[in-house]
Amino acid sequence: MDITFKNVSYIYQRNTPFAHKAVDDLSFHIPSGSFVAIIGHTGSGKSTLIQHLNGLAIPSEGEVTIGDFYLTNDKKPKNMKELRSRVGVVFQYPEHQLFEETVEKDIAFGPENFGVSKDEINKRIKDLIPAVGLSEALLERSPFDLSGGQMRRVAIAGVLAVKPEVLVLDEPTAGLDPRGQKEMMEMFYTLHKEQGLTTILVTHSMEDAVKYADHVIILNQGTKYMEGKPEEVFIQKEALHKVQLDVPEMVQFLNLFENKFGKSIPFERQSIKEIAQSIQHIVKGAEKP
Amino acid sequence: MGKKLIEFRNVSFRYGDEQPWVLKNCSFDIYEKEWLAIIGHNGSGKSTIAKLMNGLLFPQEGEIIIDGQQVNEESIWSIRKDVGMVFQNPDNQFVGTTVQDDVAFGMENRGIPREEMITRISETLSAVGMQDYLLTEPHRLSGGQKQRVAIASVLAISPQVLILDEATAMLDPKGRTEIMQTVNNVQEKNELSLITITHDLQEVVQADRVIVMNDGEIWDEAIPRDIFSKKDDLREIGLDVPFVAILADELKANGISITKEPLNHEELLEDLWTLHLKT
Amino acid sequence: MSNSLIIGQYVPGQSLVHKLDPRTKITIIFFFVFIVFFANNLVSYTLLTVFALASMFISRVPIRFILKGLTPVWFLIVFTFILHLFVTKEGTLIFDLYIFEFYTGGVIQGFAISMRFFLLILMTSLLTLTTTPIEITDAIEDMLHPLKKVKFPVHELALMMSISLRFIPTLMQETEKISRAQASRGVDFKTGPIKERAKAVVPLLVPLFVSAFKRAEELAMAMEARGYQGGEGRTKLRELKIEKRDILIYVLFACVIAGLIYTRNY
Repeated sequence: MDITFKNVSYIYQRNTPFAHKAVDDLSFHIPSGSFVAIIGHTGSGKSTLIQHLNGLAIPSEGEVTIGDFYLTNDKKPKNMKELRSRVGVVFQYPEHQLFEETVEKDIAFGPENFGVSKDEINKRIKDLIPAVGLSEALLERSPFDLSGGQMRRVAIAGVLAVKPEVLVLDEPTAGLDPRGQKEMMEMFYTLHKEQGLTTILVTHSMEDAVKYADHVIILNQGTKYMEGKPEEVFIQKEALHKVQLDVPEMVQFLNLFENKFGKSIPFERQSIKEIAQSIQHIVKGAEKP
Repeated sequence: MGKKLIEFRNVSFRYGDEQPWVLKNCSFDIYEKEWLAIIGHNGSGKSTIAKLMNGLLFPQEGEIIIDGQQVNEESIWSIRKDVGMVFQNPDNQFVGTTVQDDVAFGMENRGIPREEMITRISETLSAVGMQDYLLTEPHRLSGGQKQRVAIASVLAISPQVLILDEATAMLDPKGRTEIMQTVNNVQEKNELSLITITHDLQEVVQADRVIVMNDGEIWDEAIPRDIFSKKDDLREIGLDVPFVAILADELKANGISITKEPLNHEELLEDLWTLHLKT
Repeated sequence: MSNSLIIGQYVPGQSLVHKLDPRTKITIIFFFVFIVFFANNLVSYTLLTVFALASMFISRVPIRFILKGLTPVWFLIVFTFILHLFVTKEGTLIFDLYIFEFYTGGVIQGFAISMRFFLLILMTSLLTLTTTPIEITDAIEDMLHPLKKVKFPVHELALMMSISLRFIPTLMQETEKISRAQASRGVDFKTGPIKERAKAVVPLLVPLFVSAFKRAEELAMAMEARGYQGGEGRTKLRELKIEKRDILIYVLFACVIAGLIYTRNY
């Protein structure tokens, strides 16, 4: 599903002394099937933005279009439930939403609410369990007996079991150890490609954005600050520093390298291996191939 | 290295008789004024070590000695004066209804007179850059600000050891930088021993010494440079390696000789530059 | 969004009423509740009304906040008035309507009782409007102090109250977060039959309890790590102090009581 924001503003507690604009005149377009990273500090409007994607927030001004769904201040879609079944949201620390007696029941909770048949749910759970890296032996256990990492996988399975077309991930790796973080991102990337999802990743990690996203949106104080391909956005060191964001470590290194050697290696999202080769050519004084 | 401050002697711990051992026969020392980083995957036992250090837990086997005192039921209250701790979740350790009440909490528990509290509150809050928030309520603070208040609360009782138990894990990069800058300042000024339990590589690189935990055992104990030379092994036990270390390896694979394991960009560039001048 | 969160009804201010020691305010209101029932004629009612209205104006709390505090009890005040109007059969008959007869006694009685209600509510809401919950907690802890002798856990009670106050905003934010997550999983909190909506509370309450218990556990550990071992030997940062202004107010209030006793016999 294509997603379009057109001049969207969102005001909390409108017409009160506490009114405060969380999102301000925001416009962008996300084509179906893309992997978009949204980056910004706490308070930049990220969480308000993602609430618009499944109708938890309705724009105070402007319009949001998600596939055939159309959200404006005076026109709420009647079939909100259908929108929510097609846009899955994995919130920060999703393990906090678990509540059922068994893992199986918790995963089934979402699809049941959206009217998926029992047989179909069982089939989906069977497929999902290995995909999210759990074992079937856990299905009958209480989700509260699992480790933190396993609980998170159960919660994610609960969102995926609805078979959304758009998957919104709000800092899905927060609090995991390095291996857990890597496995989690690889899992989402595989799902993204295999199921042709539109994925929207809210993250603080420039490294993850470079690695997985094909489009980056930088938010600052509720407005769009920058937008573009990762290799275009992440080389703009000064602009990013102005909003207290850093460039990925690889870009930092390439900048320092250029200062020292007077020769630049352009950042093209290449692998560390490729960078090592470019450096070797310069250091050894050989011509570039 | 200074005087031994904390000693773990053959310490083993588990949460119950039927439970698996979380720590298995661990022995190590921590010295005065040093910065020690403890790393390991989730569930490797690193947080248990922190809780054992100020008597929130007691080992089933072995003993722990802090500044000459064995940690037991009788000594914990004096030990907790020497060993301050900042935990992972900024919300769940903020006791006071305002910033100054929270900093006061530890001092109130120890019967410090009111006038003394007021001086120490303003001193420690200035040390962490939170002096303008005396009367602010916790829900108006960011995670990083709450953790800085937590650090001030610990400093207010002038401990010898400050333990950060994954204190930056729930913060955004900005909050993380704030905390690490604060901690750097504070350690220098107050001459503390600092123990950081973390996944964050930047925190590890800055430490004097690193202990790597794996499945309840001490996997390695060395200076950061030596730890990061064991890249494949680190990955094996679920840990990460800094970008420069990986790049250095790739360069070696391309026939470039790196003289020492680089800890930061500058070191690696310096090495490359020397090499470049020679060719 | 959390900036708008106000716990209780407290309206920040620097007025004399705000600055009074919370114990003074609680004591005065405690006695006010009694003496309101001693008022028995126009003069004594006027005296008390003047005292209450004067306190209100000195506090400089905007009238709309006070009215907001009164909204839930307006009905009670009006109802009491009407009840007395119908029931009291004293004084001269004003007029009758079918079976109902209205007497002057009813009007006066009704007015008097409603006025008592009004004054009581005005004064108690003035307390919560000008005193932070934590000040009230401190005052209660201090005033209940003598009960420690009979092993009543005064300190623990006060600590529990202050920690609850501290965690109210945190738990409210948490509730909001969990309800958003469950709404995304297809739970409908807002529409549908009552039975369905009641069922929708389970996925909200279970995670909320789980997290509250986890928080409590971690908080207990953090408190222990920071040397908390009960009320024994503790000092306090927040201190209550009776100032000149408190004594002044006590004297003034004593005059009101004296005036009331004197005017009762009019």
